[in-house]
Amino acid sequence: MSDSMMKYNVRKGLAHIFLYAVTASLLFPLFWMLMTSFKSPNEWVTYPPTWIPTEPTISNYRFIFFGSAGRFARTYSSAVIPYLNTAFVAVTSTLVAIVIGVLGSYSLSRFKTGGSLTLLSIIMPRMFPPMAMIIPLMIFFQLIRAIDTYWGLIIVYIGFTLPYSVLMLKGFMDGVPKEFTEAAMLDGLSEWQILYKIWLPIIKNGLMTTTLFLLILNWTEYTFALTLSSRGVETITLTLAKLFSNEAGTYYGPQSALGILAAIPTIIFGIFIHKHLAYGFTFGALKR
Amino acid sequence: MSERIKRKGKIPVNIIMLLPTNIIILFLIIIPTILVIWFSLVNFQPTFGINFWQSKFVFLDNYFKILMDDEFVKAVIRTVYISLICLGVEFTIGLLIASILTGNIHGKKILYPLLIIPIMIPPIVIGNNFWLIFSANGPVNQIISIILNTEFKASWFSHPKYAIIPIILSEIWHWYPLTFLILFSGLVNISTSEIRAAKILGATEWQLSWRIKFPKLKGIITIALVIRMMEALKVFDVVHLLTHGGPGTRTQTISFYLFKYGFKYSRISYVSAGAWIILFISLLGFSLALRSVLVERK
Repeated sequence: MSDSMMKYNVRKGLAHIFLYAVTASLLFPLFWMLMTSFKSPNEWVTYPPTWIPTEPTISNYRFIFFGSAGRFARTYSSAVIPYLNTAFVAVTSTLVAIVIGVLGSYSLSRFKTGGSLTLLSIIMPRMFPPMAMIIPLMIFFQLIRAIDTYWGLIIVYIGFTLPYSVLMLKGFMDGVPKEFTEAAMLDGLSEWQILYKIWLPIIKNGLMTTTLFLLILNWTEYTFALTLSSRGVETITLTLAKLFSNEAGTYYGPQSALGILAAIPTIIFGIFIHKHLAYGFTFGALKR
Repeated sequence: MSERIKRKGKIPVNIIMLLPTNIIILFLIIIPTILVIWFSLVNFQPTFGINFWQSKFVFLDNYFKILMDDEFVKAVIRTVYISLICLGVEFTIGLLIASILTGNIHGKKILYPLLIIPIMIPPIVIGNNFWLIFSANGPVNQIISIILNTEFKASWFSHPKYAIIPIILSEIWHWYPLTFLILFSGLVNISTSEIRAAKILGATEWQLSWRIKFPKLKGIITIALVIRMMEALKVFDVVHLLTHGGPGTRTQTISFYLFKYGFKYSRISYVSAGAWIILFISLLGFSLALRSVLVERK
C-alpha cells in the first residue's frame, strides 16, 4: 500500500468517525427526551441524572392519555381531545390549501396569470413574522366572530400554508411536458379536464410531497393557536405548553412523553419527504 | 392560447382558478396589513372603549415612541445578534456535514434523514427538549461538572447572562438541517468533471473549494442566508416556553416583545407601529431574496 493510499484511508476513517459522532450528539436531545419519557417519578430529578431509566415504565404515557387524579388534574385532563383537534384542524386546512393551491398553481404555471407580481403577493405573507400580523388579524377575527373556533383556526392555517402550497405545486407543475397538454387540447378537453385528467396524475408524487409538507407545518404551529384559539380549540402544542407552565415545570416524565407523542407524526411525515424538505422551505427556489 | 380562453365571453378560466387564492390572500394578508397601518397611525386601545375607526389620529407619534423605547431597540438588536450567531454556527455545521457527506461515506442513506430530523419537530417540543437537558439536574450540567471536575449546577433559565444560551442553541438545533440541506444539494450539483479537471491541473484542496465550489454555491448561499434570517425574525415559541423573555427582559426577541405589548398590555397602536417597522425590514430582506432567487433561476 502506498503512502498516499494510507493517508487517504486514514482521512476517510476520520471522516466516518467524525460524522457518526456529530450525528450521535445532534440526536442527543431527542434521545434524552425518549429516555425521560420512560422514567419513573423519582428518577426525573435525581442528581447525577440517569441516562437510561433503571426501571422503565409507561406510566407517563398513561398519564398523558388518561390524566390522573393527582395535583395536576385541575390543569390537565387528557391529551386525546387536543390530539384529535390537531389532527382535524391540520388535515382539513391542509386539504383545503391543497385544493386551492392546485387551482392557483395550475393557473400560474399554465397561463402565467398576473406575472411575477402575483407570485410576489403570494410569497409575501410567509416572509412576515406572524406576530406582526396577529394583532390586526385578531381584531378582524373578533369582528367576524372567528376567535376560539375551529373554522377560524382552519382559515388562518390555510392562509399561512397557501404560499407553500401554491409555490411547491407550481414547481412540480412546471415540469409537466408540453406535449401532453397540446395533445389534450387537440382532443378538445376543457382546462378543468386537462388539470384533472392529465396534470394531476403526472404530478401525483409532488402532490403527496406538498400535502405532507403542509401537514408538518400545520401540526407544528403554535403562535396562531396560542393567540387565536387557545380557549376554544386546544391543539397538541398548546397542551404541551400548558403542561409546562405553573407548578408543572419539573414534571419531566409526562412532558417528555407528550413531546415524543407530538413529534412522532411530523417525524414520520418528514422522513417520507426528506428529499424535498429543502425544496419546501425555500419556496421552490431550490431545485429538486 | 389566450384566444381560446377569451372566446367564451365569460370570465377567463385562469382568473377563476386563481380566485380562491386571491380571496384568501386578501382576507388574511391585505386587510390585516391595512389595519396595521391604520392602527399605527391612531391612538387605539381596546380599554379606551372607543372603536378603532373613531380613534384619534396621531400620525407618526407611535413610531417615534416605539423607536425611543429602549426595550424595543434592545429586542431588535438581540434578535439580530441571535440570528447572526445562529447563522454562523449553522453554516459551519451545515457546510462541514454536507462536505463530508458528499464524499464516499458508509451508511449515507441512513445518516441523511437522521441528520435532518430536528427540522421536522414542532418548535414547542424543541423548547421542551432543551428545558429537559438544561434543567438544574440535567445532563448538560452533569457533563460540564465532569469536564470541570467540580460541582456545576447552574439554573440556566433564570440566569441573567446564560438564559440566552439554551435559546440560541435550540434555534441552532432546529434550523441547522436547513442550511445543511441547501448546501448539500448545492455541493451535489457541482459537476464532478470540473473538479476532476481542476485536480488534474494540480489544484490544491483549498483552491478547489475557494475557486470552484464557492462561486458555484454563492447563489444558493444567499438564498439560505435570507431565508434563515426571515425565520430568525419569527423566534417566539421557544422564548415563550422557556424564559418568557426573562429574567427581566434579558431574552426578549422582537416577536416576543410584540406579543407582550399586544396581548398582555393591549397597546394595539404602539405594537402596530413596531410591527410595521418589522414588516418593513422583512420586505427589504424579502426583495433581496426574490432577486437572488430570480438570478438563480436564469
